[in-house]
Amino acid sequence: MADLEKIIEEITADLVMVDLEDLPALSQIHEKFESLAKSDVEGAGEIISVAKGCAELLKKIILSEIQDKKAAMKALNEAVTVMQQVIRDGKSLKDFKVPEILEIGNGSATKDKGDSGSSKTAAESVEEDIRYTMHLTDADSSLIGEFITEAREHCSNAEQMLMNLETGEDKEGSINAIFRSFHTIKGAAGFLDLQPINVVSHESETLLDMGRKGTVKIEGRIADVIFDSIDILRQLLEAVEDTLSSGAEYDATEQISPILGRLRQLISNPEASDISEPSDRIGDKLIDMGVTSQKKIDEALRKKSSPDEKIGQTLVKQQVVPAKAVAKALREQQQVRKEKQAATSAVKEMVKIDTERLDRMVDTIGELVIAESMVGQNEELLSKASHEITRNISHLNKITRELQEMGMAMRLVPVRGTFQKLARAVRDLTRKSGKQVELNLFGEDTEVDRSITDLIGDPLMHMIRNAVDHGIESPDDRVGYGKPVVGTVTLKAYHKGGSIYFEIEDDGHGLDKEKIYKKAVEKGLLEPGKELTDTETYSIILMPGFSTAQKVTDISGRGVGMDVVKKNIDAMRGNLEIDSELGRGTKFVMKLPLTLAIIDGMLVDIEDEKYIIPTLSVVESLSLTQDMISTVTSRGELINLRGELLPLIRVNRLFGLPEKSDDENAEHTVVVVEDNARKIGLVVNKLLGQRQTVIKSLGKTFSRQKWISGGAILSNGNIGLIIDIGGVISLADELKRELYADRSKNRLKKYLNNNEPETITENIPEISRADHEASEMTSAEDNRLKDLNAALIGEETETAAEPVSSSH
Amino acid sequence: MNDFQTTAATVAETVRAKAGKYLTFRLASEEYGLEILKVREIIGVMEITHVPRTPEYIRGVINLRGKVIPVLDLRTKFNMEKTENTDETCIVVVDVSSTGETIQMGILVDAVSEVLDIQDSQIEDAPAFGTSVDTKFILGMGKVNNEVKILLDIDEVLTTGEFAMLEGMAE
Repeated sequence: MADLEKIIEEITADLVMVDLEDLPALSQIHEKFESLAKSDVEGAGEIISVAKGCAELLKKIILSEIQDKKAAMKALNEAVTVMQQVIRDGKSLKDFKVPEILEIGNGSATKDKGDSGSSKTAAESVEEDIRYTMHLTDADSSLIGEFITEAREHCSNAEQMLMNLETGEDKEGSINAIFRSFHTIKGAAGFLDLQPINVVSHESETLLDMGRKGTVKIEGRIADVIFDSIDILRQLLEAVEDTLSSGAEYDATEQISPILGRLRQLISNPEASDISEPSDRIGDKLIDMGVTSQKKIDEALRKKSSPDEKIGQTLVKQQVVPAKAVAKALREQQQVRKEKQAATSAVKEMVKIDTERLDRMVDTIGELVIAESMVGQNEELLSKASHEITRNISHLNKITRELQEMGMAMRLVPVRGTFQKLARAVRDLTRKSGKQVELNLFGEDTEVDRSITDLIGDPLMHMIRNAVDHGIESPDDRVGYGKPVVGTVTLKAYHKGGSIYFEIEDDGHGLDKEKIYKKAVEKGLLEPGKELTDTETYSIILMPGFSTAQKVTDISGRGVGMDVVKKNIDAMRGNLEIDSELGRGTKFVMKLPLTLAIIDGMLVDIEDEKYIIPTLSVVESLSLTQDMISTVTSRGELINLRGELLPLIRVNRLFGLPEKSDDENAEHTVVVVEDNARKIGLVVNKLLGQRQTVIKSLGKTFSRQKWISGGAILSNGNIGLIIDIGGVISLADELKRELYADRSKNRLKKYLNNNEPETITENIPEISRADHEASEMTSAEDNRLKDLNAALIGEETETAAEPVSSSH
Repeated sequence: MNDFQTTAATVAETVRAKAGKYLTFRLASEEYGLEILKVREIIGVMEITHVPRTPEYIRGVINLRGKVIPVLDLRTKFNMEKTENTDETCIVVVDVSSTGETIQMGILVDAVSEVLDIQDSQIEDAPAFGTSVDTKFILGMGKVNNEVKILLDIDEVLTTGEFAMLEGMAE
């Protein structure tokens, strides 16, 4: 007896100290209750039975099977006090109301009393105690809004298909379609943590799957249940919508348990009879308020005097609940209804539009803008315009601009969706890798063009994986380095200067410059002894076939990766900067254009034709004077730009444009461009300024013209062609190669035959001085090609010096 | 149902028989015909942006209400003398199908004449010119009011020869 007293004392102290979330401590207390329950001290029967109940209740608290843990703890405390009094003061259990105290655990504790062997009752009570709730306090409203819209669509689809099924149309196809709808809802609900929706759709899916496999026929009663579960899903969606605005928790247990019961029953025994489902909102409210129970309400409803009588009236009349409580419930109900109306506006109506249509609309708006500016800037009109016309024109201008903005905005979506996926990935990754990582997201509302969100996901995912897998150290290492155990990965999106930036920063071990350098040399990616800046060193990791990961995990590190990321970013006309500090972390900054539909370009004039050079490739531009040009063997042209020798490409000659002016000294401009770390000077006539233009594909017809990446609609409605720098350089290279091959062939022929070669007009003709004089090239075409060749061979003069030997 | 089938059969036959409505246009002193179903619209000459390093008969590209389409010069394509544009010069926008895809393309013609209904009886096969003229892109010769209209198979014109090469090499 003294032992028991001691244990009870301990429990009392523990119960006071324990935190509800401290599971180990709770389970210690649980053990103590168990040991009490198992003791066979004479005369302690009463205490043992109470202890058993307590143990059971505590188990539920630990397993989170009880909603109101605080109340349960209070009940435990009371129960322990009772036990103390029984043991110390020799009172009998009859003096207290222990069973009622323990009833907070839904009566199971009292039920178990004196029947310790009955595990079945316990299992049943566990089943009863699962609560299906939705917590929407910190949920993402836009994501949920989207889900609601989508799920409703799926509900309607499933309903339609179910009806088709009943009329006997394409049975298999219909069942599959319904199955898919439920499956989609289930998946999305699971992701969004909308438990009740998830559970209902899951059970329906199971039943439908049986239908798919042919174990049950989806008709009659089973079809009814599926219909009902669609209705329930709709109700739940509505509830989600409501709860979204109030931001509270929604308990759907009462709402869904009947349908769950029916579904489960049908799944386990498709022939079983149906169960009907009661549902009442005021009643639910009163139960929620704790003033009554389902049982009492049911009883009251049976005794209802007239069928038209409202449930509230019935309950008050029969004195089941106080009138005050009913009034309160009614008020709340009204409140909810009001909020529901407000919430419908929060869940946006969405229409799915074919992107092609959208593009066409944006195109048309673009044309409207051009047409508007043509009218608005028509000098003839403006000179004669009355005050009214001027006002109308400016009004038109305003509307056009607005329309243009709207058109652009229609293509914009927030990056939130993409970020959510990444957050999820980080959660999974940390679990797999055993590291502790906290992901901080900033700028989820930053809007980008749809085309970009589609393309940005993969590179971001890759970099995030890298950051978690390779960047962040294992917890032990982190402690060793004196860093916080939990690593941080920060993902930011923001707009700056007409571009969108994505930043991924981790506080891991950073990039090891020396190691990268050594490995690059080892892999033959780099010449030994070459000096590199930090930025250059870091960008080695973007080269194909380079991976610094020590070990290959199933998450990342197969030697492919960053080069793919780089390629993706290049395809979006963006760039990637890496900054790192060994031991402190790495930061990737990705800069992307706001939209892929618009290009930032330098408008240039080449022999009166307008071309656009993408600003991203432009390093600088300078005006070209004759004395800056050094020629190599009087053919190739170079300029010396602050000690750096740049080959010049005369774009007009490369493109075969007739030269407007013969004046050698006519002013030209060099646009220094960079492609794949190779710098080249493009000679153009004039710079016309920076432009943002809408890119148009030239279509399949010109797909071979690699030196042109597309067309841009200029402000006057004409098209300016966008120069593809890589294409231009390879075109120059290609022509040069052809030229050499040709020339060496001719030289060889000359050697062998001791004969003057003929000019082959289909190919690129000879260009050397001697040949110039020898062959008579009079046609404009030949002259053009001659110039072209002259423009091209500047770069590889060494090869040019010995063309004959190279041909052997 | 029956009527429809008859109509469909007739249509099929007509297509084979080449009879139907043609848009006729002038190139130098010759009259050509284009199947009306291929014609999308006729627009006046606008500024054409030259695309560098393309065959000479590709005049360049134009902005057709926000869509960039290529424009071909039929005179150059048929090795005719090049002339300055006049007030009558227009661009006929046609739908060209090549390898299962339909693309829009503009063709530059001296002047558009009229839409003619040409009967089967008025159409003859292209005569053989020996090697000097490629008749592959000629559907037939239409004889209307003592005039000869050269009926073009525009798909063939725009997708064979150099043009096809231009495209084909890209694939």
